Amino acid sequence: MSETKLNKRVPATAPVVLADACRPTESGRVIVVSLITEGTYPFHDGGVSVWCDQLLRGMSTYEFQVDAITATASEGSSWDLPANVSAVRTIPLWGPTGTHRPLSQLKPEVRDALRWLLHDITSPTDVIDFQISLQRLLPYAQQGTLRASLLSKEAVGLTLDALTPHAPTGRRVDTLATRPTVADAIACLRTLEHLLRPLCVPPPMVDLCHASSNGIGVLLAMTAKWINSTPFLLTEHGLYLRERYIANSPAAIPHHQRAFLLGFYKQLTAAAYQMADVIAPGSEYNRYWEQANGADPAKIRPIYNGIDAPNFSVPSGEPDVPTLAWVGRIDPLKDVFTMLRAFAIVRAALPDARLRLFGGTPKGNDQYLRACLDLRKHLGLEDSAVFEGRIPSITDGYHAGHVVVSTSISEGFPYSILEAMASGRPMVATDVGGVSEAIGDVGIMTQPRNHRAIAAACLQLLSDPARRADLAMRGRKRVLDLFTLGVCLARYSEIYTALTTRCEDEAAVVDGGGVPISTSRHLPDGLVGAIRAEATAWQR
Amino acid sequence: MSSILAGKMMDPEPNEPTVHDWVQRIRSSSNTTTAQSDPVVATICAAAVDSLEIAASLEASGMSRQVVSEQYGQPDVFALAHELWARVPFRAVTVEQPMIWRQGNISDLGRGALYAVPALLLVALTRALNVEFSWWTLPLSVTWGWAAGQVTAYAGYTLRARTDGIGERLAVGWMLMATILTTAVIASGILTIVGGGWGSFLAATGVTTYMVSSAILLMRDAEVLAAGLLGPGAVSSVVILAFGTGPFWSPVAVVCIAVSTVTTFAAAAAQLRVSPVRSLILAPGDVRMGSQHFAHGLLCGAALTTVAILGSEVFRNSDAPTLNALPLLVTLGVMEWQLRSFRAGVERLTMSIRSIDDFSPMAAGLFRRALLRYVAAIVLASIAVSVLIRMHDESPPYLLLVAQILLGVAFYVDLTLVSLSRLDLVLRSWAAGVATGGTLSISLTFTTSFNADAVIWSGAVVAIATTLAVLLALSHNVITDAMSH
Repeated sequence: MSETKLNKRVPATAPVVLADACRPTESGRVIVVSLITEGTYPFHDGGVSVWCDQLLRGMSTYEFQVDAITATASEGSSWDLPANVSAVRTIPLWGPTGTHRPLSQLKPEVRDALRWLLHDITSPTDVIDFQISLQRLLPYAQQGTLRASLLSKEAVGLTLDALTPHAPTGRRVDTLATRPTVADAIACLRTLEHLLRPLCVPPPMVDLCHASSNGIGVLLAMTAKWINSTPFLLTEHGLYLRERYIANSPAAIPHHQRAFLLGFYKQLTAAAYQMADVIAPGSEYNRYWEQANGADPAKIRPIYNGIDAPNFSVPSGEPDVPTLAWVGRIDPLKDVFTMLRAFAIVRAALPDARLRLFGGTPKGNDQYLRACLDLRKHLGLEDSAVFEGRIPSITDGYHAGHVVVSTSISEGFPYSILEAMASGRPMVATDVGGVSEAIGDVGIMTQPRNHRAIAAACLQLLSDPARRADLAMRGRKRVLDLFTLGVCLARYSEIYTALTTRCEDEAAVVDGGGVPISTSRHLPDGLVGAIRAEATAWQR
Repeated sequence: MSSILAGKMMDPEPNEPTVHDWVQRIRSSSNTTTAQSDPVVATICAAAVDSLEIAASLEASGMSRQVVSEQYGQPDVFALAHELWARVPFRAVTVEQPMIWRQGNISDLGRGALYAVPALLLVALTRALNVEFSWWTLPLSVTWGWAAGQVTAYAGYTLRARTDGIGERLAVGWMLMATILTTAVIASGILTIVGGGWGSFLAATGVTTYMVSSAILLMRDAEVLAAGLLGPGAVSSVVILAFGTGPFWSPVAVVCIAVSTVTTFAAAAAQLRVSPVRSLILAPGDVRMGSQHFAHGLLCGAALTTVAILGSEVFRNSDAPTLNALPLLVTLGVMEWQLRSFRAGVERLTMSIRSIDDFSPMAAGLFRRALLRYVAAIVLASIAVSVLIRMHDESPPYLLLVAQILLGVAFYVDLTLVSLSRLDLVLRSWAAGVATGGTLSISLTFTTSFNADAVIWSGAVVAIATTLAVLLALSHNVITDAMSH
C-alpha cells in the first residue's frame, strides 16, 4: 500500500446509507452501479429525474449509489428513493469551502500540469491531451491542494498567457477582442476551480458508473476509470454542450471568459465520449451532435425513453368545442409565443376554438410568463387561451384537447410527446431534437418558430375527425410497440450486463497479477492504491 | 445591446426578418463585413468561439436538420454552421461587465448612521425618562445584538446568493426570534444574579431587537424605509441630547423612540417567515461559518463596549457616555464609504491591467489611501469631540480617544478582511489580541493597585492595539493577492 496522503476534507457530503434491499445476481454477486446526476435526481423534478427514477426502480437486481452533482448540497430531496439505492452522495460545486489561502509558489509539476490544462482549454486540440492534463492534476485534487493551486497568483499569470490569442484559431478576423485582463483570468480560474471539484472527492468504488448526462459529473466516472478501470456508460437526454452554447451567449459574458468556459465544456464532453465504453443517447438526433464532438459512432447505442403506457388511458370522447392542448413548463425553450400566435390564426378561422396550456412556471421564468400574458392580451385571446398551471393528473391535460401541440425550439426525446400519444391524442409538433423520431408518421411535424405552419396543421386536424382518430390510434400503437418502459429497461439491462461482465473478466486478469487496463500511466506510483483505499473507506 | 440581441434570438416578431433571412443574406453577400452589420448575425456567427456554437444557435432559432437540407442544400446544421463560420470573420462583442462593488459615496454616511442609532436612542431614552439603566444594559445589548446581527446578515446574504428566497426569509425570521428570546433569557439571568431593574431588561431586549431588525432591513435593501422609520427617534434623540429634557420634549422623545423601535421591528418582521421550517435547508459548513460570524460579532461588540463604555467610567467626565463614543459612531459611515471605494477600486483595477505583476503594488496603494482617509476622518472627529469637551470646561479623555481611534482602524481592517472572506484571519487576530490583553490584565491585577475598571480597560486597549498590529500584518498578503478579491 502506498504512503501517499490524501486529503480528508473533501468537499462532499458523506454518503447517506439507506436500506439495502437489492437482490444478488445469478452469479451470487450484487452489482453496484453509481448513477451520476447533475442538477437533477433526486433533488429536482424534470424529465431526466423521471428517467432516473424509472431506471432505479426498473433495474431492481442492481444496487445503486447516487452520486449527485449539486449546487450547494442544501437542496432538499424531491423523490422517494427506491429500496435498491444504498447511498446518496452529494458533490456541491458552489457550496461553502475552506478558506482560500494565497499560495506563494506552485510546485513545478503542478505548474506544468496546469499550464497544459489551460492550453488544452483555450486552444483545444487533441482530447487525449486534455485527459492527460486532468490526470496529472488528479493527485493534487485528491490531496486537497488543487484549489489553492488554481487560486494562486502564478495560476493567474499562466491563465493570462493561455488566454492571449485574441480570436479563434484558423478564422479570419474583423475585430480583435481586447487583450485579456486580470479580471478575465480570475473569473476563468474561479470557474475552473468550481467545475473541477468532482476531481477532489473519492471516485465511486462500484462495478459500473452510469452518468445520466454529459458534463461535470463525468469527472467522477473518468476518475473511477483511471483509478479502478470501472466501466463507464454515458446516457445523454439533452445535449450538454449544445445547452452550454445557448446559455452562454456572446452578449452576456466577456469573450475571453466565454471562450475559456466553452472550451472547457467542449473538451470535457469530448473526453467523456472518448472514455465512455458505451454512449446511450436518448435519440438518434443526439448522435449527430455526439459525433460532431468526436464520439466514436461504434460506441453509440441510442435508447429511447419509455413510459408506462397502461397508465395513460384513452378517453371515450372529445371536448365540446375545438380545443388545442399544450403541456409543458412555461419556458422560452417551449416557445409559448409561437403557440399563442398560431392559436390566434386558429381562432380567426374557428371562433369557438380554445387553447388550454398546462404546466408550471419554473423559478426564474416569471418574466417570461408575464410576457406570454401580455402577448395573449395583445392578440385578444384572454378569454380563449387559458394558462391552467400544474394539474394533478397530466393525462387530463392531454385529454383536454382535440389535438396536443408542442412548439418547442429545443428538445431531447420528450416524455410529453410519448404521453400525449399514449393518451390517444394526435400531435402537432415542431421538428426539433428527437421529436421526429418519437412521432414518426403518426402526427404532423412543422418547422419550429413557424406559427403559420403550426396553425395550418392544427386547423387541418381540427376539421378532420377521421384523420384525428387515425393518428391517435396509430400514435398509441407506436408508443406501445416502441417506447414502453419495458423496452427501455431491457436495453439498459443488456448494456449493464455486457459492461459488468467485461469488468469481472478484467478484474480476474488484475487479480492474476496484471495491470488494470484503463489505469493511467500519468498517475504517480502509489497514488492509485491510496485513492482506492480512501474511496473504499469513504464508501463504508 | 445585449438584451436586444437575446430578445430577438428568443422571440422575433412574426413579421420581422427571421434567421433564415440573415443566413440568406450572408450566403448571397460578397461582402461579409457588410452582411454581419446586422446584430443578430453578429451574435450568432461573428462572435462564436467555434462552429458548433453557430450550429447550436441556428437550431435554437428554429433550423432543424430537415430545414437546412431543404432550404440550404447542406447535409446538416453542422455543415451550414461551418460554412457560416468560414464566411463570417470573427468580431468580438463588447460586453459591459457589471461591477460587483459600487463606488462608495456620501450616502454611505447615512448607512453608517443607521448602525450608530441604537446607542443614540438608548442614551436619549435614559435622559428623557430620567432613569439609570443598569451598567450591563448597553454592553449586553451591543455585544449580543452585534453578534446576532452578523449571523443574520451572513445567513440572509448566503441564502439569497443561492436564490433561496424562502430559506432567506425563514433563516432571518428565526434569527430575529432567537435573538429576542436569548437576549431576554440572558438579561433575566443577569438580573437575577447581578441585579438591576426591569427597565434595564426591557432596554437590553429592545436595543438588541432593534439592532437585528435594522440589520434585516439593510440586508433586504430597505435602507430608505429603515431611515424613514428611524427618523422620528433619531431626531428627537438629538434634540434631547442637544437641548436637554423638558416637560414637553421628554414625553415626545420617549414616544418617538418607542415608535421608531417598534415600527422598525414590525417592518423587519413583515418581511420574514417562520414556517414551514423544513424549507430551511442549510449546506454543509453553513453552521460553522455562522458560528464564526457570531464569535466575530461578540468580539467586536465586547471591544466596543469595553473601550467606549468602560473607558467612560475610567475617564469620568460629565458628558462622557455621550461624547466619548462619538468619534467611532459618527465615522461608521466613513468606514463603509472607504471599504466600498477600496473594493470598487480594486475591481476596476483588475478590469484594466493585463499583467498580474502590476496588481500587488497598485492594490496595496488603494488600500493605504482608503485606510488613511478613514484614519483622517476619525482623528478629525476625535479632535472635534475634544474641542466640544473643552467648551464644557472639562479636560478631554485623550487616552480614551486614542483607544477609540485604534479600535476604529482595527474595525476598518477587520471589515476589509471579512469582505474578502478571511474571517479566519480576523478571528486569529482577535484571539492574539485577547490573549495579550488578558495576560496584561492578569499581570496588572497582581502587580499594581489599579482598580478593576482600569485593569480591564488597560488590557482591552492593549488587546485592540495587538489585534490591529496582527490584522495589519496579516492583511498585506490578502490585499495584494488578486485571487482574494
